[in-house]
Amino acid sequence: MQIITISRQTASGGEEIAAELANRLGLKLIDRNFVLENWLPEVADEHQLHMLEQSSKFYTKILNPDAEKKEQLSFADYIAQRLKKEAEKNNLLILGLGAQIIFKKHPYTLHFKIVASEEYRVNELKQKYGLHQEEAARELELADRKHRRYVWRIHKQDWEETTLYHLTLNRDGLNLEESLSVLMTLVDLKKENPKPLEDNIDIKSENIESESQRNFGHESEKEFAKILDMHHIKWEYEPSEFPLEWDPEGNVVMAFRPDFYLTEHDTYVELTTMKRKYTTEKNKKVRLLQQLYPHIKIKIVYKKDFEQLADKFELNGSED
Amino acid sequence: MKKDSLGKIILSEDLIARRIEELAVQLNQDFKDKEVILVSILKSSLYFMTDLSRKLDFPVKLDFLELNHYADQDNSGIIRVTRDLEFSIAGKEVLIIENIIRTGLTHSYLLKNLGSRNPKNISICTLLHINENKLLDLPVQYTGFEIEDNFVVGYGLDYQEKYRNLPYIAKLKENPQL
Repeated sequence: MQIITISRQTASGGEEIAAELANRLGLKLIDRNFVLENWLPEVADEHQLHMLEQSSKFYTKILNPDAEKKEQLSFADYIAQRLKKEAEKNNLLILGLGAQIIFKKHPYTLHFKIVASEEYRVNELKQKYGLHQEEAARELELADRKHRRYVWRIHKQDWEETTLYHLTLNRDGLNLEESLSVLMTLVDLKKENPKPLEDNIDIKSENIESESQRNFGHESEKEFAKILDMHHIKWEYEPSEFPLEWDPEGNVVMAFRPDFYLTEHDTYVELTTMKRKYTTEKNKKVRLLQQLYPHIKIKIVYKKDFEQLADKFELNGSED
Repeated sequence: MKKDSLGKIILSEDLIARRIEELAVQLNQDFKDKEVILVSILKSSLYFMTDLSRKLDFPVKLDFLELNHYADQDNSGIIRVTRDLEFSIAGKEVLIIENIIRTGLTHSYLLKNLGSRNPKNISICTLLHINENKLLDLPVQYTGFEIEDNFVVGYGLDYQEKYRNLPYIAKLKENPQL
């Protein structure tokens, strides 16, 4: 599932960006409040909850000291576990919680950090809470220290390390709409070629293997898949077979498996770039398919169309 | 390639102008009193954008988007925005001005890319539309002309960057893609 993590300096407007981005992209927003209200009460008593609200150190405490050593979990471990579990079934936007480290190697994750100058942040606090200049500056210093300590204590990483993030956004020059536009564009671009920040050798070699192991029946199918990838169109290769003829006992004697299924367009595509005798056979099957399954959308790409497409994207390509 | 490689003129300057008038009447009716961002897809829709937009009487902002295919290591390439919009389109009414829709592939990418920016609505107005054998059937709200699947140039459309500035649309004598 897709995951976006957002880390933010206090009063940089990170919460606002997180809420709006989650809203626009349809992601479930998880932040510290959500965790305190929904997850931690399952394992923490009232006193512990109070401590968890106050102190970052308390997250390193073992929540089940009576369990066997290897079963023991800290509150931070528990949160990481719940986040990973949640990420299996939902698209998430996680604000804070050290999620940039928990999901560092996850291929479908983007990590953003929102920062702003001290002047910007002091002004935000002054406006929001009516604080004086000095109070606001002091407040900021404490909050920043708390953030840094949490990530250091739990994950032994420096929160300020810029390479933990795909992108760091400075709010001084970017309003909410501009910030969202930058983030959404990156989200859009990375949808089709996700890549974790740390080059994970296992993930990389797996990918290469699956690409080369994909047995396309014909070179043109491989080329066609490339054209679809080029246009960010999601596809599946030969995912379904449609029975077309049955013998008197009901056994399928002829079936048809279209080459591609374009998931977002609910359309099957059959390439007929082979020799003429196969083309006639395929045409017959497609006609039968259309008769038997009129609700199925199927497109035939003939040799001529395919060659035009293939040429076009070498030739110029800026137009449809 | 010289001008004598040009084949038959399929849409004359006059015919294009008259059809644009008609499209404008329809758009003026449909977008009455709405504020619309016209997004022209560079470079081919440049002339269509300038001619059409001058006939519109609802408030418009003009913006431009350029797409290109980048090759990557295994030469498979990917379509990317090479010149992005100036304006934010979130919550706005957007009308894409395209010169030709042939396969639907670029159209699909455009809708996905612009759609993710959360506009209020996206419509598309294309001067030329090739309907036969289109790979993807996506909604096209406004069409100037339905044409056959030939290689055409002029009025913004090029062959290797030539012929864009012809005031009419003509076939090339030999289809370079065959």
